[in-house]
Order: sequence, then C-alpha cells, then structure tokens
Amino acid sequence: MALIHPLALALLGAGLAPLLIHLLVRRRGRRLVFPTLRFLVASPARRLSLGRLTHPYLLAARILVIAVLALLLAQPYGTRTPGAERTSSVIVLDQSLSLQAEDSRQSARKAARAALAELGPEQLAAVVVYQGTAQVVARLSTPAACLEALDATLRGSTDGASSPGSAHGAAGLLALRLLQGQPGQRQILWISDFRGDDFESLRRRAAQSGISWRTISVSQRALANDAPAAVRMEQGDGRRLRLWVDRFSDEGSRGEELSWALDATLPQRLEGALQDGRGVEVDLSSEGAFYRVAVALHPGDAVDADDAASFRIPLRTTVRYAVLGPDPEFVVQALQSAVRVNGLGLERWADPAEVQLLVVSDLASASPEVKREVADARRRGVARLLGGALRWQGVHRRLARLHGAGLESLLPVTLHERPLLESVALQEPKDSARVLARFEDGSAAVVLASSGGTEIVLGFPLTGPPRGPGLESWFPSLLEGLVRELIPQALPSQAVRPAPARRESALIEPTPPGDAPVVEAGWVDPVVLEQEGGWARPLAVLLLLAALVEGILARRASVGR
Amino acid sequence: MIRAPALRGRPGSSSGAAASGASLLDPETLTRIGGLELVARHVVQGFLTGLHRSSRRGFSTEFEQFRPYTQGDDLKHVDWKIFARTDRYFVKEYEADRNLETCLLLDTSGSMGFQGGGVGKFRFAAMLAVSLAYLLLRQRDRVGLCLMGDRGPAAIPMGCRPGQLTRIVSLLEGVRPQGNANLGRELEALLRRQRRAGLVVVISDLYDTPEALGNGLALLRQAGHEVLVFHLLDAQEVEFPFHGPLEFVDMETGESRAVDASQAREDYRYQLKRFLESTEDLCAARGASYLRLDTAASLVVPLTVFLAARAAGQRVAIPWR
Repeated sequence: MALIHPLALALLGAGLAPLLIHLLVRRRGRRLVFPTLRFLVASPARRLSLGRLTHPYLLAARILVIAVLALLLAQPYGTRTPGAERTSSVIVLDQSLSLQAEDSRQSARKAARAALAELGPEQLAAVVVYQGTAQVVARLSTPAACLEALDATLRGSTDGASSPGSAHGAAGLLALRLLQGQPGQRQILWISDFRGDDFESLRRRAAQSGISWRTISVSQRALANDAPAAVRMEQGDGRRLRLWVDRFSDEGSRGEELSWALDATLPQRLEGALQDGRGVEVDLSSEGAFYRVAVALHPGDAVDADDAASFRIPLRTTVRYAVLGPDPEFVVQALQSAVRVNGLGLERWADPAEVQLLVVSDLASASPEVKREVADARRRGVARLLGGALRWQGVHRRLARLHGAGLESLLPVTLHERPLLESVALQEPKDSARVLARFEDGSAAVVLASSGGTEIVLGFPLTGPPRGPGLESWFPSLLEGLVRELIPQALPSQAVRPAPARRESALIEPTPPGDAPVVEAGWVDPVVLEQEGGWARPLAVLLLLAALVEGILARRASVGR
Repeated sequence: MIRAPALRGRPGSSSGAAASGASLLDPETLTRIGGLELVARHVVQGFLTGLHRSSRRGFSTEFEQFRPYTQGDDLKHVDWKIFARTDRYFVKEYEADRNLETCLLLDTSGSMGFQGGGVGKFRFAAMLAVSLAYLLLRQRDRVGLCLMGDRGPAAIPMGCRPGQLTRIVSLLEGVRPQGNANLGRELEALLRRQRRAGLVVVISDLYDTPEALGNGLALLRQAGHEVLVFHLLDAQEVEFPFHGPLEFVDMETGESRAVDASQAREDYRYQLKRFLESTEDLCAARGASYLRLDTAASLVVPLTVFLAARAAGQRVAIPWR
C-alpha cells in the first residue's frame, strides 16, 4: 500500500490531542460550585491518577476519528502489478517410447532442467513424468527441490525400460489437479515430441481453468535425421511466437531464439523472416482463430515436408479495448461489438473469447440495462470496469456511486495533467493515432495509439469532442489520468501522417496497417491504482456519530444536567 | 404534630383540583410569570380562600364572651340588657382585629445562590417570602423582612401599609446571594429589634453550626415568638448526581476540594441525611416548626403549612419524600 499524500500522515500525531486534553482536564477535574463542602471528603490523589480513564470509549472514538481522517487525507492506494504475483508451474515431461533415442530423451530432460532453472526461487513448481503411466515426481515446491527430485527419479530410471503407451491424459489431469486452487498465475509446461497424441482437449481444459499452456517440442525426427539442431517452440503467453534453436556441435550446444509477436501482421513479417539460411523454415497458415505453424529443421537445401513439425497456435492475443466515455449507449455498443467481434476491426485479431474490454466509466447516468450489460460482460470475464475520479473536483462525491456500479478500481486524476492529453495527440489526424473505427458521421470512434511497446485503444469521447453536457469540466481530466497510467512514458513525436480515407456509410471500418510501424500487440498491463480509502468515509461518519452520541450521553451523565 | 396536607404537587404528578392548582403554583410556572409581586398575587389569590384568625381577643364584630365589669372598662361596652335582668354589670367582648406581626428571615448567603436545574434556591426563597408577605398584608397583618448575609443587616421594618409589599420586592430583586451567613447571630439581632412577640419565618438552607442555630431558635422561643423554619434544598444537593473527578468549590468560602464524585456519592448522602435529621430534631427540641422543601416543590405546600402553623400554633412535620 502506498500513499498519495504521505505527509498527511503527520496528522496522526493529532490523535494524541484528545488523549492529552482528556488527561489534562480529568487530572484537574471539572470545577463545580456547590453550596457546601461539609459533606464532601477529598478523594485520595491516586483515585485521580492518570491510570484511570473516565470515558475510554469516547476517547478511543475521538482518536480513531482523527486517525481515519488522516488516512483519508493521505489517500492510500495499493498497486497491483501483473506478473509480480507468484507463479505455479507444473512441468510435464514425456518419457514415452516415442522418445526412445537417448539423445531425444536427454534433450527432453535437459529442457525440463532448463525450464526449472529459469524459474525464480520464489516460484512454485511441480514435475509430472509420464510414459505408460503418469507419476508425480515432485509436488509444488521450490524449483530447486523439484530439480533434485527430477534428477533422482531420472537416475533411477536410466537403465529401466520404458513402459509401453503414453499416459499423457493422466499426466495432464495430474497437472491440472496440482494447480487446482493455487493462487496467482498458473501454467503447464509440457515437454514432449507431441507425436501421436492429441493435446487439444487438455489445452482447452487448461484454458477453461485459467491455466496457461506452454509447450517445448523435442523434434525426434530432426535428431533421427542426424540434424545438428533441435527446435522447440513456445507460445504459452499467447503474445509471441518463440522458437529456440539448439545447435549441437562437438563443443556443446548453442541456443538461439527467434521471436515474433503474434498479431495480424505475423504472416507478413514471417514471410521472408525465416528464410534466413539458418536451417529453420517456418510455414504459417491461418485456420480460423488459429495459426498453424509448420517448422522444419533442415541442414540442407530444401524443406522436406515429412520433416516439418507442425504446431497449432491459438491466437491468444489479448486485445484490450478501452471504452472511454460516459456515454452509456456507446458503452453497450462497444461491449456487444467486441464480444461478437463483428466490427471495430477486431475480427482479424483475436478469438472472441480472448477479447477484453477496459470500460472506463462511472456509469452514473447509465440505465439499468446498461449496467446489466456491463455486469454480464464482467461476469463472462470479457470486460474490466475501471472508474475514474477527478480529485478535489467534486467527483469524490461520486465515489459511492462508482463503487455501486461495480467498479474494480479507481484512478485518481489531476487537472495539472491536462497538457499530457494534448501531447498524446490522440485525435485524428495526429501522428501516433490510428483510427480503427468510425461513427457514421465519419468521426473517430476507436483510435489506436501506440508508444514504444505499449498500445492503447481509446474510444469516444477521447477521440472526438465531448458530446455529453457537463462532461467538459472533468471527464477529459479523467482520460488524462488514464492515459498517464497506461502510457507512463512520454510519447515520442512522430511525423504527421495523413488520415486514411473515410467511407461515408461505414460504421466500422478497420484501417489497414499499411506502412505503420510494427508494434507488439501485447499490452503492458497498467499498474492500477486501487483506492483503499473507500471504506474510510462511511467508517468516519459512523465514528463521528458514535462520538457524538457518546459525548451527549457522557454530558448527560456528567455535571450540570 | 400536624401532618401536612398532600399538596406537594409536581406538575402532572397527581389529579384533581388540588393537583391542578399545585401545577399552577410550581416554581417553574411561577418563574415564567415575571416579578415577585405578581408572583405573590398569583399564588395567594389562586390559593387562599379563607382568612386566618387572630389569637388575641378584642372588641370587634365577632362576639367572644361576657365578663364582669372592672374599673377602667369603658362604659359603652357594658351590656345594659343583662344589667336590667340581673342588676349586675357585664362587659361584652368581641374577637380582636389585632394585626399579626410576622418577620420573614431570608438567608442570602452564597450557598443560597445554587441552581442545580430548577429555579434556584434563592429565587424559590424569594418567591416564598413575597407570597407570604402578600398573604399577610392582604389580612392587614404587619410583616417585615430581614436578610441574613455577610453584607450587614438589611431589613424592611414591620408595616402593613400598601407600599410594604413593593418595598419587600424591591429589596429582594436587588439581592444577589453571596458570602457567609451566621444564623445564630442574625436571630439574636432580630430578637433585639423585634421585641413584640410574633411569628418568625426562617427561609434558609441552614448551613450553619447546629449550636448557633439552636441558640438562636431558643432565644426566639423564650421571647414568645413562634418560629417556622423552611429548610431549602436543591434536588442536586440531595441526589448528588455527579460522576467522575470534580473540583468542588464552596459557594460561601471559595474553598475548593478535589473529589471523585462517583465514589463520594454514598458517603455524601449519608452525611446529608444525618445533617437533615439532626436539624429537624434541633428545631423540634426548640419548639420551632420545621418544613423541608426542595426547589422543585409547589408553593402550595409552604403556604398551607404556614396557615396550619399559624392557626394551630403547633409544630409541623412534613414527611420528606
């Protein structure tokens, strides 16, 4: 947890004021004129000592009120950085008969060791080995422990014959069971030659459970052909296609990584990218929402189709579409469009189920239907709902309503960030923006802005003049704050590029990439500020009321009633 | 001993005409009326329906008795019809219209300035004194006022003229209770000024030494005075409803004392009870009528007790609630 105004914590010292006042007043006692003292005996001094508080609950309530107010002013927030959470990995190692060749088996074991070595010490790992039967070698523990257990198991089975068959299904179930209920990110790393087995059902079950799926392929065929290299491919994060080419020689092995971002421009970029004479040839074809990647290792001249190992890559590119705007109708339109992928130029990009929306709106004026739509999208996991609040501009009064709309977090926005919006230059035909969709009147509906490795899709009204009444005063600032959070680094200035031609009747018209610079489709997840003071206001009100009631009661119970 | 009538009404505490009249005469209501004189008129006219009788016989319209003529009697009082029948001289006597002389002795010490939650002790005492004065003056009795305080004697001499009530009210309106009072000394001084036997009404919280109070009452009784003591207490003095550590300041001496009120409550109440019992016994021993009042009580009670005491000449005991 961090604080926006940490200096406000100094007000916590004021919490001692009620205590001091209480003790000083009580020490002397309240003065009361009385007709006679003849019937009163002075109390011993110890009875009036500091050790006994007369109204402890009232004192505690007063101190607590001041403390809560100080925390409110400090504005605590939490940071949630994706990727910083602990990852639980299960390495599934194929030791079936299809990997009879010792080199192939050693290559698989080496890949498993390398994968374990890559994991940080804070990560959790487990190892499942299968051939005719599946066996959990190591349950979730540290990678070092898993590596030790794996070595012990493999040493014991070096000379043993492999049992026939391939229990990859059982191994997959074991892996899923190991990861069941684990917090944080979860992944399965499958090391196999992927021959003869169908992993699609396992992959789908993993996806349904939110478990990422990575594979390392050990090409037996290439080794069988005495090829001096092996290739393994990983597409686990769904953002990049990575090929590792291990080249073997008498001096040892040397790895090389080939990496491409998985997006709509991948075929174009792969065309010619892999014809580099390094012994690797990749053929990419489209199959609906998947790409089929055929990789062949050939030391020689031509590509032998039989030698090509094919991989079916789901394009799990997550398109995060930021719907920015308080216009509820547009929010609904964007939600429905994105879910159906029937427009907005997204259909070429992604599997519908992988679309995520970043809805930024307070939905304060939205109708119940709109809120139901948003809630439904959130329930299906295709939308996140972020809210923004303009600090010190009366928007704090909206916080309760923001939370009432089911917002996940709040973004504080400050007015002094307004120049950033101008520098971002998102409005057409500014340089770094690309119009992805238009309204019927031709104005920009969705704009893609990119900077470095970060990409943001912005919607109305950031793409055009605000349309709703009363929004000019605060909503642009909200967007500024959002842009600042999502694009932390300053956007470089680029040359002005002419706007693409508009189609008069087009509601949705994707803009062809043209000669736009190649960008990575993956997003850098924004660090989302989570306002943690939402509970403080009602608590402060309750405490104030309690203190007031307590004070009245104490007053009545005291002198001069 | 006379038992006081059940007229200690608080607003809304009882039903019937008595309760209704009592509610009209409670101190809170009277405070809203305004000046003391108006309060007195309201109290007396609303309460009193009869007259009190003189204890001296004389020559008036109400026949009392016949007695034999003696030398010096006026011949005009001789009943000649009896002389014609019996050939003896008899004088016809009637009930006298002689005025009662009442001295109102009001405590103005600092302790009388305490106001817990009601009208305050001194305000209550002033309303009671003026009401009594109006009642007496309405019967053409002579009434005087004497203030007991440390600022020297302040008194309104006996009188029954129409302006007497105004003078009493003016004096009381200008008084602010302060200082310390010596009841015994004041009673002795009163005895020196008031040689003719009459009624002495003491209105005080009686925070004095029992010896001084007893000596003063004894001297008054020896001189033939009838003494009626109204002992005023505020409800907070009796209940002591305070909590926590407090610094009590004596209203008469200015002395302060740190007391944990919660712990001292029981002891205070016990000491006060002993004080009240001893004071009541002291008054009884000296032949003085004693009535304890709290400032929330109706003025009906002291007026009733006053008339009862005046008529019967006996000591009055009012059970403390």
